[in-house]
Amino acid sequence: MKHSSENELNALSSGLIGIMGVSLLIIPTRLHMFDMDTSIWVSVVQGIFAYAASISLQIISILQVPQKRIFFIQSAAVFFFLFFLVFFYWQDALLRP
Amino acid sequence: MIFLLIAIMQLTLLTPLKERFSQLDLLKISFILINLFSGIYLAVSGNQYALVNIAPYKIPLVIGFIGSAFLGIATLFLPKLKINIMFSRTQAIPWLIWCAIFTPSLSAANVIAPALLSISILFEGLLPWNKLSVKSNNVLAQRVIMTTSTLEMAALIFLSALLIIIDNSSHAGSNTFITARDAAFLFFAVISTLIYYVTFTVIMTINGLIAELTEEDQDKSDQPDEANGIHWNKRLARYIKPFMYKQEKVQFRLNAQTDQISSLTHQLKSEKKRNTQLILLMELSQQLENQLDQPVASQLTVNTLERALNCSLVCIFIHETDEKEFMLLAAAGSQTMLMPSGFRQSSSAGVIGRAVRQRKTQIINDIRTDADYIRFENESNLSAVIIPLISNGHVNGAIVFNSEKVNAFSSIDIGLAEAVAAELTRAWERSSYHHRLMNLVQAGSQLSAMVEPETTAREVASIAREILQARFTFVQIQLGQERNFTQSASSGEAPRLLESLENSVGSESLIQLAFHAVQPFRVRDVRKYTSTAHLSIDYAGLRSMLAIPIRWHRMSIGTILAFGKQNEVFFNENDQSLAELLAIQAAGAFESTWLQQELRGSLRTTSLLYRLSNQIIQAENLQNAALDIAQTAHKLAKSSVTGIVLLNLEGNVAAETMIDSSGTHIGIDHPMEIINDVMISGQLIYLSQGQSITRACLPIQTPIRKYGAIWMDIPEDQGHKSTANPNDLQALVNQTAIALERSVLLVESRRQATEIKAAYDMLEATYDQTLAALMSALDARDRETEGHSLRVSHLTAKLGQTLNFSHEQLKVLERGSLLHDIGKIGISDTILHKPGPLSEAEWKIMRRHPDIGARIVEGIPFLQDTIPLIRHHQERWDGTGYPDGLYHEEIPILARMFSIVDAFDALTSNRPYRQKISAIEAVDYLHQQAGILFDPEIVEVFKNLVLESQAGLLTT
Repeated sequence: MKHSSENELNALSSGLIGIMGVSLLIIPTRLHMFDMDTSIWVSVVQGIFAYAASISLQIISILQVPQKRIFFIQSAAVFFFLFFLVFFYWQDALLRP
Repeated sequence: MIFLLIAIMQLTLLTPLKERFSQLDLLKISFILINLFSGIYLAVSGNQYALVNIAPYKIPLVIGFIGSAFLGIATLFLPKLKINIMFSRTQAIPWLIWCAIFTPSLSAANVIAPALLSISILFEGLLPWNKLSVKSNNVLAQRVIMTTSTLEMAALIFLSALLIIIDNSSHAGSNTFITARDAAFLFFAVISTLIYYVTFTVIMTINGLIAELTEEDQDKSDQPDEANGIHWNKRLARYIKPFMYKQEKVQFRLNAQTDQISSLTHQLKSEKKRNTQLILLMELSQQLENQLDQPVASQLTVNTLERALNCSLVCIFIHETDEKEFMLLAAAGSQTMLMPSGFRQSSSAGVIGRAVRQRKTQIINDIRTDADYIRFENESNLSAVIIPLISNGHVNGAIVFNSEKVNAFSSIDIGLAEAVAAELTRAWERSSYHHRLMNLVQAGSQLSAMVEPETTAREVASIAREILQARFTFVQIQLGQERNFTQSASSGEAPRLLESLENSVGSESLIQLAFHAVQPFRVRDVRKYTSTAHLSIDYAGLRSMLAIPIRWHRMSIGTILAFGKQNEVFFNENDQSLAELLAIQAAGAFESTWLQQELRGSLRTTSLLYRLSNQIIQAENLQNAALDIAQTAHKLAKSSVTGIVLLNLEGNVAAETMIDSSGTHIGIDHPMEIINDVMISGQLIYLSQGQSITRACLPIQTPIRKYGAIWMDIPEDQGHKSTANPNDLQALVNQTAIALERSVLLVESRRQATEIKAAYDMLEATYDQTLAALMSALDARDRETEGHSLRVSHLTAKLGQTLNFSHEQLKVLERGSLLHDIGKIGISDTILHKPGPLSEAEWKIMRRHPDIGARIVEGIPFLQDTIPLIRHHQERWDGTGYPDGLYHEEIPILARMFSIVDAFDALTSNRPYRQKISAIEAVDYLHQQAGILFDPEIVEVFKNLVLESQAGLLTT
């Protein structure tokens, strides 16, 4: 895979996860991911981690970091994608009439 | 779907599949798959999605997703297609529509992700990753990133905490269309975007600065971005500039830049043209460097000017001063046919004449307005430039170039043409110099073959005139230790100048000044120079002068004066350098000629003196010798009158003669006064006789004797010096004196030798008579042998004559025979005159007489040669003789001859004990004893001698 293309994939992933992180922190209700009873701190913690993962993805695209760290950060990104995917399907299933 | 596929792609990057898909663009594939599966999903799903009815948009969206996915696939298979970028970007369209559909529902999950995807598709490949990439040693950029990220993170957390606090305090509901959280989200999104923009800009600036400082190569992996033709500095500038200038300022700046670009473009064109012209000039310069042919150099020049200045006609004229005309030498351009071959124009007419008069370039921007310009029929030229070719103040030619446009030539063009003219002038000068140099080299070989001084001087003057291109040349040479070799010659027509130069020779004027100069010097006007003011020149063209000293071995031997440079006003440096070479060649030629003349003179003198020496020795008398001496002196000194007086020992005139143009005279009056003076002084005396005649008188003397004197009337040369070489005259008298002395000595020697010979002969006769008397006395002791010695002496001499003995050998033989028994003096008379036979003891004594005889004559020098005969006359052929018992040829031949004659005389003489026998019988006896007692060969000769003698007696 070309270097710039990989960076852009990382950037897209960073953007998606970052936006999700920001959304979890600022507009959790708009995501329809949690019930009203769920503690706000759940979304805050998830948002912080998601945003941290997003920034880390950006950093590995720009800075020269060890391969192990890249692997860890990309794994975290994959985790968050799958996490959000699960939540979205779960929410979709809940909302589906 | 987006999250799923992106997650799959990210997962791919974590697995070994990353290496397998290393050549694929996973991002593009992600976009294609996302669109494709989204389209399929949308097609198979219901009309309700996330509480939004999408039925009206379903089919267009499905078509959009799937269609754009296929366009994306097409870009993968046709990567070189120009519209690939547009095809790729079309994948964003359905997602933008999607965002538009779902934005009113405020479903962040359904808007934000598609929006981000759309942005990613639209900006795919546009981010400058090569400029954003931060190396491990770039601490500053790392700090910026980490600080920005930390601040952003902190700001987000702070904002979130603030919102929670606000929520808890206000209990604001979430059913409002735009809540504070929504606003905060949007605010943060905008701020975050700005932060990213600023951060990226700062990082790129830092990277750029570091790259400039380190000059490192860019990462090769980022080359594809560059290959796409995206220049990020420009792109960035495009985004930044609008924020930096106001519209009117930008417009003003734009206009100014446009003007500047136009000016620079014009300047660039001019520079290009100038550059081309300079290249052509450089090429021409190189071509002319080695071009020694004047017409070819001119043609090269017109060709170059025609190309460089885009002329319609370029001509080069050569100035023929004598004809006062300019002649066409070369032409180029489209209107060359206007100029007939060999075209000539007066050097005083037209613009060319004006250029000659003013000696500067004539620029005619419109020839219709210039009255001096002479137009040809059908000439379409409208502008012209005439550049005179000036060398050392003289116009050698002119370059004329025309154009069919008015004001066609700029100052740069004219400057270039003037540079070309200067280059051509130098080329012509080189050509002329080379031509003259070659002539000089050839002239050198001619000069080296010269033998006559006069011819050499004339040739040098002629060559100097040709090489130096002078109107008149004068050569003056003074060679030899006494400066006695002088020669002058001239070339060219200038009688007044020649006369004044000839009159100034010898005086401390120009000739001497040039003669003593170390190197050539030039005089611009001889009339204004103190040392040359006395010269009167025939016409003004002779006023410039080049004086060349001729030096040989650091000694001045002459000078060449060249007057009036042909076709030019003054002599230049080239003439001076050629003059130096000419002076070297002339010096060699004159030295050679002088040496040859000296050699010839020496040979002639030597030959004359040698012949004189022989003539004097062979002269029969002193008068003849005097005549020979006078004739030789007359030839050698080239005198008009020559006289000689030779004296005897008493000082009286022994011989005299005089030679003049009418012949030889004897008995005339000689100038005895001057002759007596030189005889007393012993020195050469010169005495002027007036009418350019010098009388020279020299004594003929040796340390032993003074023989007389010779006098000559010698004509004087132009310098009032005698033409005869005094050294030659001195050599003549010396040689004469020596020859006379030798002659006298020779006569004396001959006389003395005759006297000695007579005395010797007399002494020898006296000796022989003494010896004869002595041997007669000895023979008288013994009556038996009386007269024996004289007889055998005569007979042995006869035998020697028969055997062809020399006179000296015969003398030895005769004397030895005469003295053979001289040893008997030492033998007692009792033994010698004993009547009976001798006893053994007596014989022993008797046999000692040859040894005694040898010892007697041993002390007498002129009888030394007789010793062998005296000592061995009793030896026998078979070795039975005494005193040494010699055998065969061991016995000296004189002794062998004598023993035969002695025996013969004894046999033919009476003895008391026997009667003599006849000569025939004696010869028979000798014949019998030949090979026993006597040498058989000599016996044979003696036998014949006796027989012949007997026959002679009978006949008598």
